[in-house]
Amino acid sequence: MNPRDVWVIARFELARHLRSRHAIVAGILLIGFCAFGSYRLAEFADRLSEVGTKLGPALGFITGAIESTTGLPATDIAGLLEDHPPVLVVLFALVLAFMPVLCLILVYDQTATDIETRHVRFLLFRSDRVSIYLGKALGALALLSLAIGAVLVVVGVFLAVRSNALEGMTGVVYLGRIWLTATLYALPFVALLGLMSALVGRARRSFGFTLLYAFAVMTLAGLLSLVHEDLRSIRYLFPSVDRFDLMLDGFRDVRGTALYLSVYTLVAGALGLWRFRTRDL
Amino acid sequence: MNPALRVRNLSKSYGSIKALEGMDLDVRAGQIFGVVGPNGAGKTTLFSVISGFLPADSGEVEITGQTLRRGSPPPRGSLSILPQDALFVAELNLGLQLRHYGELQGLSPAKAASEAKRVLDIVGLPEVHERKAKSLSHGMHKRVGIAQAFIGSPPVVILDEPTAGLDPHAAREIRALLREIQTGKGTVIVSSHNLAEVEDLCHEVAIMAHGKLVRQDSIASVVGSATVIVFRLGRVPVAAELEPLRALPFVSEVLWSPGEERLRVDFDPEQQPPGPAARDMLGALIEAGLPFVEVQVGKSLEDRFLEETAVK
Repeated sequence: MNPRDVWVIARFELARHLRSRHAIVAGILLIGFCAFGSYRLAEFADRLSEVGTKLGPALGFITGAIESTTGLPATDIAGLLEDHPPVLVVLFALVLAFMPVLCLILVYDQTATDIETRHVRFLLFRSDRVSIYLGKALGALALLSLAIGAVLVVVGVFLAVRSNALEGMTGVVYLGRIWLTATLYALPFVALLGLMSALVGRARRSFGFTLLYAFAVMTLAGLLSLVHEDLRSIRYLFPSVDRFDLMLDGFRDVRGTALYLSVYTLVAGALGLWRFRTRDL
Repeated sequence: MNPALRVRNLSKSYGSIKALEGMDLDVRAGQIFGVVGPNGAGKTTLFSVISGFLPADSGEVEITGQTLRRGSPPPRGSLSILPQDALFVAELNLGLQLRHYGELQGLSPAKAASEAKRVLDIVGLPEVHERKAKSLSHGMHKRVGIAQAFIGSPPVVILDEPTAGLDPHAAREIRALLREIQTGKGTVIVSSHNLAEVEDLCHEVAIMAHGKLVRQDSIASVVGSATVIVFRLGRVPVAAELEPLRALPFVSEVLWSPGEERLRVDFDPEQQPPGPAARDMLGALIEAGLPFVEVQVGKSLEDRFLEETAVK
């Protein structure tokens, strides 16, 4: 592996993705998300400022809404709402909720089109397969990181202008945390989608197979849990499980999920790399 | 002096199909070298292994004296290739793509940018630097493909069917371009199904069949010293019209081949060298009132190719 090649390929990948059709589609979706999300969050912030964040009934209502989205315990959510700007806590939950879809749309095609069009052959005699694979994965991660960053900046600026929901620097720092968490949470998806891309070698099939895989995992986990509750763990084969734990502040609360996602990233990444290294290109 | 490329006992199978079987090849530096063979002979597999696209099952490849490690790309900057059917990224500017390739070859961003412009100038397409790949015609795409292979001026360049799918005009331009680019310093290895093209372009040729090297020699040696002159006539001759030819003392056999629509005349070059023999034969044809369209002295590479690949 050559770190310089990884960097060169990552830069090129970023340029390739930004000019691709799927990036344009994702861009439109993100604009829609930003517009709708910003408006609703600003409305929500206005209402909160009317009733006051310390009012029990209002917080109870918000806690219930977040609980139904994230599945986190109500006490943990109440703690988050006490410690951080409530509007940004809601934004954090929304970002994590949409992350699997965003990842799927933006980075399903890491090596697939290159394999399909044989463009990868222009690279193969210039660099090694490990550098090419990792460079493409890094480019995909950078793209996701940029997309999340753009959403947070737009929403953040809108909230700052429209209301005082950001609560000054506290909110800016919290936005930074959302960005970092979401970027790190993208890692297992980059690894999984890289694996699919290398396995299938066709962009659209890679997208379809990933959707099918997610659906199959969730369906199978649901059905088999009827037989035995422990078989519900099959759902961990798709990295959308327990993602809202990442919103929690305590290291102990996050540790288990972080470890699971790290292992998932390593396993999916290693499998994808192995496939890319061994397949005919 | 190390050869530009040395292949020893190279084998590669796809399941039960042996694409390369104990292939040997030596390519001297500073020439245009042709590789020909029927479909499935293993040409593209050979190039794929040399370029690191495919790992070999066994055998050894040396590029400018450096051994290729199994499953690894060639030593940096030692070799580049125009892969068959590889496409550029449709939505990106070609200048950006060529710069990217240059940087991957270890060039600085500034040097890669100047190389991108240089190679596009070489292939006569400086205007496509800012154009997207999807806007190129097939011929332009081939030219840019050739351009990318010359980034950084690698000592060995492989062109896998550089004129495939091109019209005769574009193919001729590509051949002229290759002659111009290859000025004796680098080594260009070309595969083609167009044997006349290889005969016209290359100094040396390797004939492959069934994953093996059947013959490797200079074009002159493969085609051989002329013992036959072939005429393409304007019409089918009658037997009496061929009598003046048969009467020539150095002519041993005159044969009209209806299938090929060619008149083959065997002669003894000891009695009459090929040039004067052709002149005398033409005189005999004119005397008989037979119009001719084309004369070919000696066997063509195509004849040799068919002989070599059929026998072995």
